[in-house]
Order: sequence, then C-alpha cells, then structure tokens
Amino acid sequence: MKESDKTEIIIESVVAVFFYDQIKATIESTLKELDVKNVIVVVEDKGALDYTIKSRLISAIKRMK
Amino acid sequence: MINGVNRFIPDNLNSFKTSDSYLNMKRILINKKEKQFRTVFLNSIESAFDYFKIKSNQCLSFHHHLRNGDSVLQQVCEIVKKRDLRNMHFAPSSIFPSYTNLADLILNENVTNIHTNYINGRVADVIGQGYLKGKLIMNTHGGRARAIESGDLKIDVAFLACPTVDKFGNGTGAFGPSACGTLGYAISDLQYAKKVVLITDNLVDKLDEYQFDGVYVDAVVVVDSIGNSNGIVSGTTKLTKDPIGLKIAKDCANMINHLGLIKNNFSMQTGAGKISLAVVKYIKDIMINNNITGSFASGGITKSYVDLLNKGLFKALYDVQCFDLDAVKSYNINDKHIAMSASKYGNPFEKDPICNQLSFVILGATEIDLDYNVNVTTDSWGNIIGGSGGHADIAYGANVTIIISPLFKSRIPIIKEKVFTVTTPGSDIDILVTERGIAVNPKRKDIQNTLKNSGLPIYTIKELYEIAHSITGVPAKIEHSNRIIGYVEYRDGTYIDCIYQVD
Amino acid sequence: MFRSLLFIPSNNPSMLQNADIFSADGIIFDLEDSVDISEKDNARNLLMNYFNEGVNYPSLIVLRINPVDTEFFLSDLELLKTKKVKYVLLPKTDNRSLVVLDKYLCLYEKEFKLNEIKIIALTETTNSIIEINQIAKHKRVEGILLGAEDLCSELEINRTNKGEEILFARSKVIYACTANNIIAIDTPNTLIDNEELIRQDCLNAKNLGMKAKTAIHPNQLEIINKVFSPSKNEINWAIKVIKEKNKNVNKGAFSVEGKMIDKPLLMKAEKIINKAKSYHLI
Repeated sequence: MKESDKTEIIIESVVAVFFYDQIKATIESTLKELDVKNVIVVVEDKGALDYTIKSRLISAIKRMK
Repeated sequence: MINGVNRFIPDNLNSFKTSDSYLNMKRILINKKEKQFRTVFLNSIESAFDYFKIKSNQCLSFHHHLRNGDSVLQQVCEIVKKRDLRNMHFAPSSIFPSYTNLADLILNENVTNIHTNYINGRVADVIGQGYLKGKLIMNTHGGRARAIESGDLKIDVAFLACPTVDKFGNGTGAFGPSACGTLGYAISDLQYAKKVVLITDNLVDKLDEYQFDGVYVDAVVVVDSIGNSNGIVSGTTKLTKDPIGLKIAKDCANMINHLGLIKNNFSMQTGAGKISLAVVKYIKDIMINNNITGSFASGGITKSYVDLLNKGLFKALYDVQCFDLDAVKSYNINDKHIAMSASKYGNPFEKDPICNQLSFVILGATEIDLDYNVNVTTDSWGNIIGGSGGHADIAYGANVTIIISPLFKSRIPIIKEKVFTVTTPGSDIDILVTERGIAVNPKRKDIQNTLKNSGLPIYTIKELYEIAHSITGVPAKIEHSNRIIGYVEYRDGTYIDCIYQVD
Repeated sequence: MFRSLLFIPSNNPSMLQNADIFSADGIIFDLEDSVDISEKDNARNLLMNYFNEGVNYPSLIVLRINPVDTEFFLSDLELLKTKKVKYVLLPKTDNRSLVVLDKYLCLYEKEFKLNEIKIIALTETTNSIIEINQIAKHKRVEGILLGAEDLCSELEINRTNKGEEILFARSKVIYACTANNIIAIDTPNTLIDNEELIRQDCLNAKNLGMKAKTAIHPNQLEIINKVFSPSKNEINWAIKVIKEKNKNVNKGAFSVEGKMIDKPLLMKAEKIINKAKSYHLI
C-alpha cells in the first residue's frame, strides 16, 4: 500500500479469471468503510477468501498510519 | 452435433452416446503383425531409421513405462529433428514433463499429430497454446488398445524401450539396470505395429520368462542407457499427511465399509494420488481388524499394494504399470504379482477385462459437475494437465465408482455447473467424497438407501456446490475458445468432448 | 463437556478456513505463542474478520489471548464483541492475573452486552500450581489446562513422554478441578507422527483423572478423542445400569453384573451416558 494522489487498485491473483470482480469489490468496500482515499493498493493473491483479503488490507492501512 | 453428455462434436465425427454403446458394436481386429523368426541387431537407434526406411508422414509409437526417466522417446525425437522428417504422427502412451524434445518437434512442425493418454509439462503447454498443426487425440488406456487393434491408430514403427532383452528378441521389464516392471501399455503396439524395434541397455542370452514375445520383434538396438530408474517415481506414491486429506480418506474408508464393500474376495483399484493412498491404509486396517481377504487389487501398482499382497490381504495384484521401485521388485519376484496388458485392463471389447471385475474404485478429479461428469484432462482454466489414463475404463467397469477431492483448492470449487472438459461421463460416477460432505448420484438409489441412516454427512451435489460457494464466493464462468485443437476419445472410439486452445 | 481442544495459530488463513471441520470438540484460536510479535495485529484482524464474516464455525470456540501485562491484552479482548468466543484461555494464570482479567471481562460484558465469558486457566508456572486451589475456586474458571513445557523450562528439567516429572503438577490440577467440579485438561504432546507414544501419554493422563487434552496438530485428535471417550464396555455397562434402575424404580438398591449399584455408581453411569450422547457415540 502506498499514498498517492488518487486511488488505484492493482490485483495480481492466481484466481483472477474467476474472482477478480469479487476481490476488487472487497478492496473497494473496505477502503470505503475505513474512509481511506488516495492510495495505491497492490494485491498479491493466492486464492484467499474474502475475509482474509479484507483483514490483510485493514492491517496494511493501520500500519501505514 | 451435441453428444450424449451435452458436448459439441463436429458433425463428421462419431460422437459419444452412452458408455454402454459398445455393447452394440462389433469388435474390429486388423491382422497381428507378421511374425519374425530372426532377430536383427542394429547398433544404434539412428540405424533403425535407415533399416525401417522411416520417412516423413509416418506414425511412430512408444510406451511410457519409464515415465519421467525415459530417454528413448527423447533420442528418437533428436533423430527426427536431425533428419528433418516432417508431418510425423507420434503415439506415445503418455507424455511426461521430461519429454521436452517433443515440444521442440511440435514447434518446428516435425510432429503434427499426436495420440496419447496423458500429458503433463511443456508439451501440454505447447499443444494447449495451439502449436500442434494437426490434432491431439486423447484416449483411455483401454481405448488406446482398442484403437490399435482395430486399425484406427495405425503404427508404422513402434520404438519399445525394454529393460532386458535376450538373443531371440524376447523382452522383459522385470529386471536390468533400468528395470521398470510390467510393460502393459506396449503389448498392443508389439502385436499390431507394422514394425517393432526393442531398445535395451541389457542384453542376455536367454530369458525363461518374458512379456514381449520375440516373434513380434523385428529388430533390437542395444544402447548405453534407456533411461533412469529413479525417474519412474514421479512423486505420486506418498500418503498424504495433510489433515484435510486424511479426513477425506478416513470418511471415504468408513463409507466404503458402511456400504459393505469390504468383504471376502472383494477387488479394488485406486489412483496413486496422496489421498487415495491414505484411503488404502485405512482400508487395510479395516481388513486386518475384520479378517478380510480380497481377491485382487489392480492398477498402477505402488508399494502400498505390494505390502497388501505380501501380508496376504489380497490373493493377487494385476499390474499394468509399476509406479515405484518397490512395485518393480515385487513384480520380479512374486508370481502373484501379475502383469496385464492395457487391453486386458480396460479394452471394452476384451472378453472379460479386469476393469469389469472391480468391486469399487477410488479416483481423483480436477472438476466434477452437477451431472457428475468428471474432468481429469484439463484444469479449471482449460489447460491440459493430464488425461483419462485408466479413469474412464475403471469408472465404467467398477460396481461402485468413488471420486475423492477437497471441496475447493485455492478458492476454486471442484464442483462446477459444467466441467471444462468431459473425460468420464456422469453415468459412471457414483459418489463424491469431500471434507465437507458426500454426494451420491441419484441413479444409485441402492447406495442412497444404504447411506441414509449411516450418520455420514450426505448431501445432494447441488447442495455441496452451494456450500462451496458460500465459503469461496461464486466464481465467474469462463468459456473455452473457438479453436478445437484436439479431442477426448472415449474408450469405444466415439468422441466425448473437444479440447480447445487456451489463450 | 469436551475431550479435545485443538490449538490453531490465528494468523493462518488455511487453518481458519478448515477450523470447523477438524474432529476436535473445541478449537483454541491462538493469539499468543504461535503468533510472532510482528504479526500480532495481523492475526487479531484476521480473526476479527473471520468471526464477523466467515460462514462456518466450530461449535466450541476458545480464544487464547496474550498475558495481562502485555501491550496486546486489551486489544485481544475486543474480539469478544463478535459474540463467538465461549472461553478465554488465560496464559500464565495466577491469582493476580485472574483478578485483572476478571475486571476487564466485567467491563467488556457490560459494554458489548455479552453473556458471561468463562475462563480456562493455563497453569504453566510453579506459582500457578501453588495457587491452583484458589484459581479453581474462581467463579469464572471452568477448566484448568496444564502447560508442562513452560513449567519444565522453569524447573530446568527435561520433559519426557513417560511424564514422571509432571506427575505432581498433573495431580494438583486434577484434584483442584475435581474438587471444584471443573474440567481438568492435560498438557499437549509435541509428537505428531508417533501414534503409540501419543496414546501412552494420553492414557497416563486419563488414568490419573484428566478429562480432556489439548492437541497441537489435527492428526493427534483421533487418538485423544478415543482415549478420553468412554469405552464401548463402559457405555454398555452404563446402559445396563440405567435399564436396571428403570426396572427397579421403587427399590432402593439393585445389582448389575453381580455388583451392587449404589448412588456413586449410578451417578457414574449417568455421566457416562451423557458423555456418550454428547460425543455421538450412542
């Protein structure tokens, strides 16, 4: 995760073909929930479930602060 | 047209109807090859090319008993490349990751058509990406024997690696520096190819017992090494230690016991995957605790089965290929460890193939759909990662066919609405066992009834499908491309599905 | 009532994903020793989201928090608000830490409107063994888990499978629990592959009076569950006793298998039946 001048989400996942939209939605809704804007989020995923992706994002946000 | 499992097959091809259709077909047999009473010894594989006048547009076949340690196919590939033979048709019974020279021949269009039963590795990727100019035909082990004996697959020269050969051209895989055990997949090639050459690194005077009859052998080449015995072990004969795998294995063994399938003189076959071998261990305990002796186990034989034979838990092993060195040793010394040809194993036109005598079988899958059709040919993205092997043969023949698998792997559920490729039709699949529940094909009311009050977690396959989605989310559906690069040929010679190029 | 509790490191998504299907009677989600200090926040977040948004849960959930005098203690307790946790497993339990935990549990129960949270006390120091009777009497404590690895470390002695060196500690735990009607839980075995040695360790514990055991790997669960379940013979005997009792409702005493059944034996039979039903053995 990095601060930037706009919000950008980059997703690299082994299951991108099947779950890209879902992963993107999870990231977007979590950023919204925590009112975080203007960050670049890079996701390197190996098939994690939604709650895992959400929690790793929350940890990254907290550590960034 | 749409075939018997709802798959598109081009109109000019014979399409699959049902797995029983062969009962209404006649067995077609071409003449066996001309017998030879004089064995010619050649001093190199390359000289075999001259001796047999091998030229472009011909069909060469091979067996895969040395698995990832084979060097015969590689050496033949090098000569084809050197001589720039073109439009060759190769028919290896399986293709392993180490056969990289074949990938080069495909890219260079030396080889344009392939018949095989299983592909993994670089060759699979190259074919999947569309570089094979002709077509890929994938058979079952029994179906390849049918194709050869009927003339559907006409072989010009069979290059058969053989661990030990005698001066009369007889051959065996039982011993020798590159011993590989039984040579079941090569028997049809031996009997029906126009010309047969054995390649060995161990020449002896006279064999008392042999699997290759010298009367079918035109020439023998003695080389330094036909391959590496250690390459026979492809890392597939270890039991799983993963707790989820063990749970699936335990539930499967308990269910089999509950169905009353473990009783005196039963017979079984399993895949050689980690979870399958764990099931074998649990079945062994049940057999010992209840004093049960089985009649035979078949396969793909591994150490696990050799142990069962040695402990007297089975009266015999029928072996079409040895997966590890323990199996090779056992085949060499135990007369109850019996070789079977691919035809005797799974050819639907054989009189009483072994596959029809099985009480139950336990198999894996990359995908299974709501109609119980099973895919072991491609992964969920459509990449070729395997092939039927004996899957469709024994699924048909066994009284009870069980698929074991985790419910999802890396977030991808194994149950799909439709599998990417149909390898084995749902009519032959009876039960799915996962760590979160068991599904029984509605066609088997007998099994459903027996398991109703067993205390086991029985669901419909639709329910398990939905349970998976509740955990992983619903995966997007993907479509195959429009370019057909090959076919899945069912054991009776009809086409059960197409194989499509991946982007 | 439980025979087995499986430790799962909370920072491991694939173990969380399967937590509900392991054959343990209860799962201990660990935030302490199996989670690296640099990952404590990650583990806590993961567990929070798993409790809030996961789909399937184990039927009995225990949370091992960090000790009361660490910077993580209070944040760990926030997980209680998900209402998924039945027991808090308190490491390094002694009278003092128990008082601290009790205080904050009262606060959090009020703030998050929770049902009463119970404690399993992890006694892993010599001091905790010395104070064990008071620990067992505490109103929130429903079980005591012996932590033999740390204890032997403190005593500077070797831990063995035979367990003679922990006989005293085991007995203290068992007596304190039994006298106060709470569950005595045995220390985990660190072997994973040796079924026979694990079985012997379980039998040693059971024969002294331990009622349950923790596991550090799912492959230990089958043996633990078997050893700490009532045996077939015990269950058959108990069924006979209850049957006979129902036949002899108006008689004071009756006999089964040639033995007089008095009140203690009747209660023993009833306990066995309850356990057997609880563990789906009958």
